[in-house]
Amino acid sequence: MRALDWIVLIAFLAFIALYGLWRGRHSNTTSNYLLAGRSLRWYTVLFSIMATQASAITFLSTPGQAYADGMRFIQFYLGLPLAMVVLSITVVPLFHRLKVYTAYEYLEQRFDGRVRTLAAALFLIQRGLAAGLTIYAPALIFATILGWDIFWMNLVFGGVVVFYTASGGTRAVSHTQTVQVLIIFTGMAVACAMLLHLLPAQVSLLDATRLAGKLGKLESIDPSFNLHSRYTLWSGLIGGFFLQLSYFGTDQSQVQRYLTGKSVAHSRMGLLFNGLLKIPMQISILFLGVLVFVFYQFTAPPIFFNAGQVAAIRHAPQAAAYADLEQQYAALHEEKQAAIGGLLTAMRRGDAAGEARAGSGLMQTNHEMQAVRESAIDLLADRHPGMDRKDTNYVFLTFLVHYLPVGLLGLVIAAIVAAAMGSTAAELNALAATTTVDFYRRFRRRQPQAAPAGAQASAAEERRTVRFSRAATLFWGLFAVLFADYASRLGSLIEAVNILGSLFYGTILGIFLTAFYMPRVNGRAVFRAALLAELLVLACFLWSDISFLWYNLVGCLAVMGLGWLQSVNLHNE
Amino acid sequence: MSVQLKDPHHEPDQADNAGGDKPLLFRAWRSWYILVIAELALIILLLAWITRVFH
Repeated sequence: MRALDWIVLIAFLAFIALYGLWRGRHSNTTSNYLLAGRSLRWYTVLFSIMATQASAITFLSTPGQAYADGMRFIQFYLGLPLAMVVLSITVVPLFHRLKVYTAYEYLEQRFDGRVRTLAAALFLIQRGLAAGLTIYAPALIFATILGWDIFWMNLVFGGVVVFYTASGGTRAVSHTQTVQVLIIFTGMAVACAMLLHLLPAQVSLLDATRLAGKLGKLESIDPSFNLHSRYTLWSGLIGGFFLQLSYFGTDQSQVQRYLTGKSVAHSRMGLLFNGLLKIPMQISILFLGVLVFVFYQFTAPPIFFNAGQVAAIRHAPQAAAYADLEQQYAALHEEKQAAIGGLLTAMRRGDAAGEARAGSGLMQTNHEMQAVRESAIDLLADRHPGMDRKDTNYVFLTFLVHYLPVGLLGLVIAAIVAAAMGSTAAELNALAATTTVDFYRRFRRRQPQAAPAGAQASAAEERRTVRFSRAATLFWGLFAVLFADYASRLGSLIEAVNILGSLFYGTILGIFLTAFYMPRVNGRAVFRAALLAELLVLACFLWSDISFLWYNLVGCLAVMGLGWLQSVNLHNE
Repeated sequence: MSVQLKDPHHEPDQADNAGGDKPLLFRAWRSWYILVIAELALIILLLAWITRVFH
């Protein structure tokens, strides 16, 4: 990073902090602080929803996923539009009518306090841990590629987020997220333009797409019904539908975003536009990764993208062997240039036989390169047992750092930091809201002296609640940073976040669906069912190889089924 | 689905359901739902086509 990049990044951070502070300056009541006074328009709700879901991990890890594995990750999002429609019909009008602050408030009225506490506690555990990943993941990657100090990164980025989230509450979060989404789109557009510019002059976008397709990177839809395959059309449509239903319908970090809508219509429009835009956005991000892959067909890629691991082996006894593998890798890369040229010519001429011949030659060389790469990773793992053998998180940032011109690099880094800040702010905001509304206020209400009497006492109580919310935001910010260190031992970070979510989402969704659609099931039955369902999901995670997207379905159906059985049993007793 | 919360701590909202429940652009919400689902179907078909044609 040069001086101009730093100026762009620092200017962006300062602007976001000040803009958040200004936007949230009137957040002095509970409704204003936690729900922006329920006054936001649909496009602010939309940007807020998008910025909450898209973290820095989305922009660092997703292109890397496409680089390594092609476009099939897109299937993960196929259930999202359906979930947006169902939520718009059912949950949005219900929550608006009940005027709840958190999704879990509803559960106390429908069942009892225990169920509300259980669901809120599951959310706090899951989201508290995920917030750690959201803060730490980009810090770890920046530290590895740019050599930045993780401690200072957490302190500066985390500090700015906590500063405006704690001071301005939801209003500050939602308005800064709007700016952040615009920066993110700009950054991605810049990265895409640069990639196209950096491809060899004779390679058009269509050539690049055809080449990627020939090398298997455009295989987006797998229609097979395979429970063990992580991403298929059906796991995306069914498992993904339940995951997104749970995420957007019961996860306070999203529920809080659309509860800020000034009416049912504004909240619905926000969700439905998210249903329209999310998949095209993810396709664009994945396609960026595919373009990076095509770019590295013409330009020699590093044998392993995690520069930290590579730097460490340079001074180890394995250094000579590693350098030898690097030479072999570079020689194979040179060798395959002729095959790529032949393939492009055959494709342009429509010469099917030549295309097949050159394509198989290219695939063969890529397999050989992959074998050399595996040997290099084995060497790295010999030196550092237990290291992450995947380098997908480092692919995109490595490309940006090496090939983006000065100034533009700062802008794209600012876009990634914007994504990190937007999702972290929403998470801290939601954690603070749940801690305040579902625990603190309930606890205070049980104390006779805490009951407000008169307008003055009520105003004092409001001030106390807002103060507590600010303190809770600060607490969860610190908690997230402290937990974050564990993230370094996980694999692909975006998958880690999704797997972590899937361990809890099914159970929480089951509780809510039981509340909505099974009026005969009472609180006692659903409480027991939820505990058993959570154990079942954890058992699936520990002892089965079912793809994680199915945990959402398993957890949800287990709560509903066991809840129904329990209620029949209790009724018979 | 018709449960009402009675919470004395919930103050009246500043903009209580301002703008009503009318969708933008279309007359009925159903049109929006159909649009979202139709776009999803189109995307799946497009991706399936890309998978087949560019293989």
